[in-house]
Amino acid sequence: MRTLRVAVLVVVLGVLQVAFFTHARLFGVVPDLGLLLAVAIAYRYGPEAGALTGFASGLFFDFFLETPLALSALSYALTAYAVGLIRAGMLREPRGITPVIGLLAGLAGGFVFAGLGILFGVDALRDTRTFQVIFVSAMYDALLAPAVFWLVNRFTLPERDAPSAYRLRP
Amino acid sequence: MAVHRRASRRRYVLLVLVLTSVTLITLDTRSDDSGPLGVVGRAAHTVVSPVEKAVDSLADPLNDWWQGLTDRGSLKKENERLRRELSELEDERRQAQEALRENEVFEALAGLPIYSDIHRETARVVNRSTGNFEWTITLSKGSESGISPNMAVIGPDGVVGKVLESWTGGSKVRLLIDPDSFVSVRVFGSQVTGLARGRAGSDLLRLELDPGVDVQVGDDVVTSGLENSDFPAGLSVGEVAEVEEQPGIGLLVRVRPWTDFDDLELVQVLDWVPGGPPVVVTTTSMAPAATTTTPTTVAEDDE
Repeated sequence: MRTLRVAVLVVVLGVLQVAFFTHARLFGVVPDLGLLLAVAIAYRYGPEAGALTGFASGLFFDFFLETPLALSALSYALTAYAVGLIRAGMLREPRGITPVIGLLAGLAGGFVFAGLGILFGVDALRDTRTFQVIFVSAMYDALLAPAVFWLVNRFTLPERDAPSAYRLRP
Repeated sequence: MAVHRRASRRRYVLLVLVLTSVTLITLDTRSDDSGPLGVVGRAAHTVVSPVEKAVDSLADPLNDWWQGLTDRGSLKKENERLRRELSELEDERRQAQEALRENEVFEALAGLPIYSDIHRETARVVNRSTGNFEWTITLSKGSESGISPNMAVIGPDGVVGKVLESWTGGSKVRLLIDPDSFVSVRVFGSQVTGLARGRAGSDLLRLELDPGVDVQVGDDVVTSGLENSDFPAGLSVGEVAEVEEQPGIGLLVRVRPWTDFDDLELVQVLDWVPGGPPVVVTTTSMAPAATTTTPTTVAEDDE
């Protein structure tokens, strides 16, 4: 059931990403909703769930991009996995942390995407503008992170079903 | 023990995802769009196309509002505030103006100096670059209208780009300014030809020429139509914006496209195959395309 709900979120956020946010750019840059979703899942349910969600949401997005298929999938999965591991080591959850997670995950995801892209021969990424785009996109992710985390908390299974290490503290 | 097993499983899942991704990336870069991955991609586009069109039809007012918020500063915001205060009558007047403006674009497209025997499919731009590292537009028409990959796309002011992929209900066009884009061009009124390429993060095209050729800032640049070019000869591309001499290498010319890629609303897809007939262009100015001058064929100019 949780898998089905997450799948619905993957599709809904994916469609929003390709149809709506292309019109709502921040300084010409779009956010990474799929990455935010994966990170939110990783934060709530651990690295494994986050990586799987990241792979699915990235792959959905990849079908609409000209970069090699699965490049976003791989970068989202790796970033979400790392966030899940870091989350497991956190003793407490500071207030208002979601924008910070969005920002850091956006930066990490962006650099992983660019690094892998260059490795796989995407010439468009070999430019100084890439840094600027990654930074603005990460800022945009930070703005949207609270909404995506709220969506995940609202539409996935109740708190008691999350692994104990990932339960939100009051 | 259980913790160790869980950690192993995590690493196993990650390894499987990485291997799957690398396999897909390799398959995608080594195959064309006709394979199973291409079919899935087109199916995804077909499913999302109606949503893109619906959002586009609703997006204009939102776009203006958003641009006012992010790009245009306080003046634009003030303009938005005033617009909200306009009466119903004012709305109707604006709609009429919009229709007139659109009509002008249509007239400009219809008046493009191109042989009439080249079939042109007019389409609306419904979406722009999906990702942050590509320069593309999505059109409202696709394979059902005969639009297929590699077809040339033009706008009211000249060349826009090339069709990258098409599906039922839409198609994607790679813009001239995309780093993977290139077009064979000629400096108008001369025999100087070269390959103009897009460049990441720049609105200018990059054109490398042999040393000693006569190119001046302000010269018009048109498509050359050389063998295997995807564009018919004589379509206006832009004007020379900068000429830089590179010692021992040649000239680096930067070309500013005539087309304003941010403002495109309607474009035309040319059903033209490489090696097809030349086009008719004006003898005076290359842009804007709507100027009325006596046409002559580029074929004559070339000879």
